[in-house]
Amino acid sequence: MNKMQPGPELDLSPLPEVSRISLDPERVEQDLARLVLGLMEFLRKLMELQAIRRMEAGSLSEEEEERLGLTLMRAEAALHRLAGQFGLSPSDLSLDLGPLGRTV
Amino acid sequence: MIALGLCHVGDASRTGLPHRSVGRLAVLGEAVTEPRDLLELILSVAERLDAFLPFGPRNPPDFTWASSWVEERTSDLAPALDRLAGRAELLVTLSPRDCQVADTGTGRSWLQEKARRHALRNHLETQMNLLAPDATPIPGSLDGPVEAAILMPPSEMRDRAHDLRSRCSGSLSCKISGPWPAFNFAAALRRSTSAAS
Repeated sequence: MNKMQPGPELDLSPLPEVSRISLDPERVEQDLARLVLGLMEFLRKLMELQAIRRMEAGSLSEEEEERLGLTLMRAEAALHRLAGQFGLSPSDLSLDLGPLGRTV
Repeated sequence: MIALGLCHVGDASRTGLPHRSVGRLAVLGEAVTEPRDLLELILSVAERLDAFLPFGPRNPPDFTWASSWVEERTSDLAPALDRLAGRAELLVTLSPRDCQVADTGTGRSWLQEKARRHALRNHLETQMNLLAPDATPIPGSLDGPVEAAILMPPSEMRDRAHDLRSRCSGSLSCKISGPWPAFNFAAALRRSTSAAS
């Protein structure tokens, strides 16, 4: 087999994790924050998708689009800011639920 | 000790790593903590063995837990390991070449930008299916690049990469790397065997 080395375009981020949500007693705050913020981000994404569907279907007025967009935009920023306070990146908020797939 | 992955029981001693036999299979372990060290160890094992099913290096399972997990699924995992013989993964990433971010100063423009990214993501997925229908999609964000892994002999990867790049349209950027251990094959297998049990 050819020699395997990480390529220059790759870091560890695309590599899959084990399909478990594990809580480590040494960093329980960060793990809990990841779990809670991950679920909140999942719900926010669902609302974002619903808003996009409604916008594309033409069922929102311009004012409603503005209000929904602003709310979702600020919610996203707030979640990312909170995640940062626990040393988490936005990609850490994607939870692997094993056979059910990832949350976002 | 954490688990690195699985190999045929007859190959385990060639790695020089602690291992536990589970029927035809062996779970390989080692006491490492840093993801980068673990990745290098997995790469070196994959180089030495013809068939190796790795666990993901970012959050590897505990050795005892992994051994029990394997024991319950030997009948699924043994043929999967046989299928891996002589093959590795080619990783393909598709993204837009010109990724202009629109003004998102207002709520409406933010929503429109999100809609544009979702549409782009769907387009990228379609393109990936056309370029590499045999690839395993890698779960990612809803509005980021699209990634997929192709399981194939490393000796054929150069030609395949050349073919993929030549067929990739001008508006898309196509990044290709490999050979990699079968991380994504293993992840998909783990999802399917966990769901079945």
